[in-house]
Amino acid sequence: MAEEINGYFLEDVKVGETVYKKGSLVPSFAFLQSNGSTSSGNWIYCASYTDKGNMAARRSNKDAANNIGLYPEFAWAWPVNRRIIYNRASVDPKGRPYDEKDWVVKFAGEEKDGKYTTNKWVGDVPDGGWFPLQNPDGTKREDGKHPFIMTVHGHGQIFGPGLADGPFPEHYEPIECPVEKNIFSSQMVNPTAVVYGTKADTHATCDPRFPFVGTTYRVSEHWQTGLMTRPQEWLLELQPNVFVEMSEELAKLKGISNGERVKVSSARGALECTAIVTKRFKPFKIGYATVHQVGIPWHYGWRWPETGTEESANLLTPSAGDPNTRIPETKAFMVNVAKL
Amino acid sequence: MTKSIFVDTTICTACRGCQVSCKQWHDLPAEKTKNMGSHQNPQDLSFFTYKLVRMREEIIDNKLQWLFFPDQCRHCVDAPCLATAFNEDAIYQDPATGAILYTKETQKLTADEIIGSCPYNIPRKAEDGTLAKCDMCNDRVHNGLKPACVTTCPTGAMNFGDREEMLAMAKSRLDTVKAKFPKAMLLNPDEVNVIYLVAFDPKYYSDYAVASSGKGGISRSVALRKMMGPLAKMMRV
Repeated sequence: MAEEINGYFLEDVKVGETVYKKGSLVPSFAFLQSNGSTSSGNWIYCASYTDKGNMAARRSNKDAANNIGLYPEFAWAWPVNRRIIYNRASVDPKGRPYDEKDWVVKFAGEEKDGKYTTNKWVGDVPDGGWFPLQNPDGTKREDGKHPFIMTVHGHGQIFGPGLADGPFPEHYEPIECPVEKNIFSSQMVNPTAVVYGTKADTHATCDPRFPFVGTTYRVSEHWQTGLMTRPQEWLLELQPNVFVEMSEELAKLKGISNGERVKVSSARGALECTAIVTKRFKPFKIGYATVHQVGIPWHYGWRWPETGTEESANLLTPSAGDPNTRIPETKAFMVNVAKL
Repeated sequence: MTKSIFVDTTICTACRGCQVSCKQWHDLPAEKTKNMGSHQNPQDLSFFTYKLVRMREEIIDNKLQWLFFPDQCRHCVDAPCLATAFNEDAIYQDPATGAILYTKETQKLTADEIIGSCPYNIPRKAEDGTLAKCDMCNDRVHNGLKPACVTTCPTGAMNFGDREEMLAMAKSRLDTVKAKFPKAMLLNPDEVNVIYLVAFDPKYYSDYAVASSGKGGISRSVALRKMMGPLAKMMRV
């Protein structure tokens, strides 16, 4: 399988002066051909499995010449075993490391009369092995390229193109939360979040009807809505019911016993869950307030199990989404938990 | 050559791939389960469930530990169930692999006596009294495959090979994990062919993680039969 992903020559192919035999492994993505004479499962993995064997299975503890912990012969990194992308950003225009002690790459070509004459880099695999931008005498070279090779001008960027928020991470409160004020910022919630305006999109921050933080997650036995895994009886046997996990403290507060069916509700909907009272959940402090959290998997819905009693956690979650992908805010919202 | 399984519970994540692959290989039906307030399901081993990851939350030295114990037949070196049955048509040991195997003939045994003889509380009976448990995937092993649970394990918690090789692996892993878990131990390694490594006192994992003195073992009459050896077989005492 790993060989397939790397890719083969499908016929004898001549690249430069070398003929590569049909059936041999392609040594690197630069050798992949556009005429159907080579195969590759994924170009970035080309060079991961070569005539020397499975590069990802290597376990050498020998470090690279720069001695900064790259371990180039331990496993393999895509593409072409480069450990740090855009690594030429660590050198000045003449190819000399800004940090002479902990350097990543440096130019080691020969020079004559103030000009570089041969091309060689040492350290990590250079991200684009062109000559440096300048010769040792400071003259500009026409064959050099800026280090950020995947951007239009070759420079690093603070804003990614077309993104609605950023560039720096900021703490905003979720669209529903247990606090009245964002204590890190004067901005309460993400001002660019996509918030829908239908009747179903009601939100309840600091609302005594929904005092607990809710979150959703997966279990390893089911996949997404569970439509592919709940009909599989061996998987349903392992995780038969939608559950709500809560701390022993919250269970005591609400008089809920382990394994009991309870109602979990939010401003948007409600469903019945089996309570799992666990030491893995603990109340936490926000400011002076004790906040309880509960967690629900989202894999359930109609038809399987055949009781039809196990409904989707999506009934509880807000549809408000992040501004770029509209992935809804399923990880933090407010709920209530009550005995049936 | 006797085969063994080495179960390193310190790297088990309770994904339960072993439970499912066991049912798949043996074509065992799913049980109609209910969440009882834990992720462990089914609740116990049964005639249709040979492998079960037991889960417990324990506070040990003021720290929460979520313990996983993939429970199954230990394939004892000297199996009390085999000695108790005293009927090689019903319970026998495969000399090639060391696996302790149950047949349909177990229906003719006194099921509760066999179950009671097991120090690890493993065999389970059907309504008609037939007994069943893990067979170490003996059919796979004879065809050069590993047991289904071992093949499917993604973390390396389940290992399979010659007994000496597994014992060496178990001892070497024990030495390694002792640095992190000073109370780590192997469970009855000299007596079983399914050797568990646990990080804490085995009582935290399962009531029958180690052979318990109050449970199982062989009765006096069985001991007598064993003493008589081959003679007893001939006489069927």
